[in-house]
Amino acid sequence: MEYNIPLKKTLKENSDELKKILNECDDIIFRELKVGSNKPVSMELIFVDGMIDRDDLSSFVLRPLLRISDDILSNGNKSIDSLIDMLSKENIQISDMKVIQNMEEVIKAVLSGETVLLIDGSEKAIDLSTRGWPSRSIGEPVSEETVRGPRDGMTETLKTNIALIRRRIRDTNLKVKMMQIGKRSKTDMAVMYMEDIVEPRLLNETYKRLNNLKVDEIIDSSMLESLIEDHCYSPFPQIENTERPDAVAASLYEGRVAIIVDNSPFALLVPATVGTLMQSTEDYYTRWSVASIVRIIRYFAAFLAVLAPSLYIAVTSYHPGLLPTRLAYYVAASRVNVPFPSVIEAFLMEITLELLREAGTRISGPIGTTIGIVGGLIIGQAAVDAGIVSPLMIIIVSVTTISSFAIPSYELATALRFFRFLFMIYAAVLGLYGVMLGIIVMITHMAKLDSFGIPFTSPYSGLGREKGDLRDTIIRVPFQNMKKRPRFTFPKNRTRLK
Amino acid sequence: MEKRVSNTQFKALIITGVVGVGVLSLPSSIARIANNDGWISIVMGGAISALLMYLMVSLAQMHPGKVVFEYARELLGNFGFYIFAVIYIIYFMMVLAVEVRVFAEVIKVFLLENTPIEVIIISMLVTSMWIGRYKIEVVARIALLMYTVLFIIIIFGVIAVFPQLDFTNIFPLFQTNLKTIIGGVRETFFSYLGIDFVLVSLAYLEEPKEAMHYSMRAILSVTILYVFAFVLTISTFGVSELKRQVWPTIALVREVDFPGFFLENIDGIIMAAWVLIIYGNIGPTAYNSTLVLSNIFKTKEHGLYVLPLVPIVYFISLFPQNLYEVYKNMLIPNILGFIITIIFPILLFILSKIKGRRTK
Repeated sequence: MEYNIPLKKTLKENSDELKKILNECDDIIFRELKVGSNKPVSMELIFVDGMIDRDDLSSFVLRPLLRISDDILSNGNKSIDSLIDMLSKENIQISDMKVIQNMEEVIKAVLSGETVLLIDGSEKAIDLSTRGWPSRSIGEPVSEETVRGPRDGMTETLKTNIALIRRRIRDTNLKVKMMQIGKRSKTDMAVMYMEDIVEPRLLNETYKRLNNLKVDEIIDSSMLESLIEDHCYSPFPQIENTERPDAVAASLYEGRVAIIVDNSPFALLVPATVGTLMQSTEDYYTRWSVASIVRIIRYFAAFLAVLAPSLYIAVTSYHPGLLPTRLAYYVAASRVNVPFPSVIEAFLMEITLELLREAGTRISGPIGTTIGIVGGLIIGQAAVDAGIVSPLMIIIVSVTTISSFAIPSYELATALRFFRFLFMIYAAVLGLYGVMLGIIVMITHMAKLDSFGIPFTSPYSGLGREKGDLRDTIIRVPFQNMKKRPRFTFPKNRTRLK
Repeated sequence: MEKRVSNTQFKALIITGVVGVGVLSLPSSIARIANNDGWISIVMGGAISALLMYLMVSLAQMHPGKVVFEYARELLGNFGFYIFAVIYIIYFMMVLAVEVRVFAEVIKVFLLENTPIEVIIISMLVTSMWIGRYKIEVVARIALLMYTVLFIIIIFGVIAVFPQLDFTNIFPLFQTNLKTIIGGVRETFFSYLGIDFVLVSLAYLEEPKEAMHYSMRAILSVTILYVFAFVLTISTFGVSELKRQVWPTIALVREVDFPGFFLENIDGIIMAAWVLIIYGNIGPTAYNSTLVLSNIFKTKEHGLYVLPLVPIVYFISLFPQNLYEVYKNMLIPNILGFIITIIFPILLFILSKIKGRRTK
């Protein structure tokens, strides 16, 4: 649907055309008014009901317009252009406005919550920024809470989010490039970056992908994420998301690019690598020693989340000799009553737990807790008593699940979950050797992945693993020792502390 | 050509490309010839490899941004190149076959007693040769990761075996004559094969000027690793027992036990991690062989050659009846390796020198 036509001279023509285009859109209001009484000029205000701030409109646009007296209007037989000039300079008290001349621009403006003022006899219209719709106030970031650190989270409004980030970077090098994506949804979005730090290739790649996108609608940033990422079939996320403005700001300082989508509280950060996905915002707000230990524990958790059940299967069914003799006897004794091989046992428990997790997410609140208790405690206990699974298996499965929640990125955790099941099958077929084959498959897959031209396995295997680049990875050294920005994003300016 | 391999990755590529199944049997096969002085043979072997490496790096630096197969065609002519490429591909397939066969035998002995060896071979081949489909960056990234694993294993292993060492077993030193020691150098040859990958990887290097420095460091690390393996095994077993071992390096780890520790036997863990090292070793070779094939048939894509390679390597690897025959037939890959790592680089080096002078 193209309306790339210039505006007509008379108000009636324009108004009729608009009404034809916006046919049966009852939420759009056409407010006609006549300015002046002697030689009145007809005007029309067009806006979407509910998307504008009505108080603003009535007190700062309508009232001043209707108060314009005849003598000002007819003073020296003003031309219609100078009337527009006068209106925008002297009368309308809205902070942001611009003159538009095209039907398409009018429609775009109206649909994005602005008010358009059409004036009879002019081929120009005035676009008044009166956006104001009901929005959530800034709350705590629910999915990324921290003990210490700022507590503001992003909301669904783009402008608010940009402001939250801008507040943390008072630098002229912070660039905010606004664009619209979606042929129908015309979703606003902003690309943010630090001009003197970001690598131009990364930025160009981001723009290229965004501009090449031909899509009808973008509902949430997660949709955009899957549309612009490198390998959409991979279980691993190649774009990071966060709802913490401080995390976005910190990433911008590291030379990454942030994409913020209207209607979504989650900002997208590119590139994402294993290193960044395993970082949590809180690491930077606690003392370095604690943060380092937590990091190590987190990597250990990732290891357990992928490998614990498969190692259990491999050891119990292929290599009991690896265990100390007494432990091996204990394991064997605890499995005496279990009629299944350990792989069936593991799959049973894992699937039960996945069910519980899914049910728990669907029903939150008090009923969710009940499901947790019924599922976790009662079924677990009953399954052991009934001899379907061994108590050791329950421990393994719970440790696995707890570990997978210790990974900061939910998407990464789900990817590892996927590989966990693959590894269980491998372990059942080829034991420890099979698990290793699984690891090879996973590592090769991860090494293959790129995130906007930057290796996904950075900084562990990418081009950035040089001297001093592992300071913010498995451990986090004090800020005094992180004088350089990490190299994996190839920042133009590497010094951050002198 | 885009520079896609960092120098650290380059170093890791050399190390993982060289360290493979060779290190499992190296200490005993060398002790059989040079007794207590085997480490001298290893050091000499390292020195010779360093020389060869010097030659290869200089050769590759003479042709910046070009893979060996590209300038070999220019230097040797089409016919010469085909002979060269065929020798190359046969050599790669032989090396892969030996590698995967020995690996499978080890896995069968220590991890999966009842699994048929064919299953182990084919599963390993399919999983690890898959990397031949990807670009050099991926191979380099894997190499760096596997290098890290190797590093961790060595540190962990050395700490674990330390209590059982008896360093008096190293002595007496300098009892063997030079001729025997040089005979031992020949025995180390297979363990140092794989350095030829620099002729490919250097073309993609970020800073090719520093390649010499990094490649020498890589050779030094490999030599130190082999000397370590020899010293540790000989001080654990003594010479006469060491000679009787097939895979002394594994036997070394099997000796370790931690009473009261969560894991009583760490050999399973080390063996499992060893799978990754072998993967790091097979990866570059698989990549290389697909690259040769794509250069022979002049195709842009090299990935599709993995598919025919897997069954061929599989059949070659099953050719020897038992492990004894595998080690006995080592001569063929050794001769081919001699041609590939010594004769060809020298030949190409001389030819490019002549050509360089002519264009001047």
